[in-house]
Amino acid sequence: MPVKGVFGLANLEEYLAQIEAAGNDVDEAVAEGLAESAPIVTEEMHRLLRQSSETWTGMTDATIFQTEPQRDGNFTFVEIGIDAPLAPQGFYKEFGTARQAAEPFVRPAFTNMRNRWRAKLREVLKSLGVAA
Amino acid sequence: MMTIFERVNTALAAIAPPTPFAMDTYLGALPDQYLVYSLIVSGPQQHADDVEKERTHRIQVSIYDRAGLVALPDVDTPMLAAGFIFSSQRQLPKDPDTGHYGLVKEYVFLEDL
Repeated sequence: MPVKGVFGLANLEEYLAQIEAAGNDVDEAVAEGLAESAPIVTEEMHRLLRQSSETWTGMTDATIFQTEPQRDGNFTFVEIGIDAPLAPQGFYKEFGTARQAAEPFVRPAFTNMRNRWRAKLREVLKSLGVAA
Repeated sequence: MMTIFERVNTALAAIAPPTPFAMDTYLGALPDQYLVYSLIVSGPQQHADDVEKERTHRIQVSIYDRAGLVALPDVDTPMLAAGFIFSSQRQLPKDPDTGHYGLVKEYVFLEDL
């Protein structure tokens, strides 16, 4: 039962058109942008987990994953989440159980970092030839 | 101004028939059916002139029931009436220790400040 989110691109068509006009490969630019911005979210997940009541063994932390940029047609994305089949305690910590309070670290990471990762993404795209 | 916790508390207290509920962990003997709510994340949504104008609160309401997930209390009606927007839900694995099935429902509240 993996718990994960997907980073895609929306409302960046104008940027992408500029990249293409500048002669750059849009797919590669987006993949590079996602690869550089996604760790902002995973680092926040690690940080929130560290702040939780977790008796630290590192096992839950080890289930946090981030994939390399992937493509499905024109859709470029990375997956970020916790690999619950590997160790379900991350799932229980995120959502709670009948006896355990939820201490979410996945959902807040996406929310807390949404502006920073988008800013990083734009920064990378600009560095690839897009005017501000 | 009503806090987000007061808002959820008031909404869940309006469930008919009344269903036991608590914030975070339910202490003591567990009822056959009960609710637990918690604040998942709360963050600014909009600023104007360096002042926060809107804030979004994401609330999780977990419904636990030893009989399964078929006949659950209606949480949506009082939460929506209290101004929350239903976001998503997901089933929890059955708790092997307590025998409860679980369903997590998420609601979002956009607060004007």
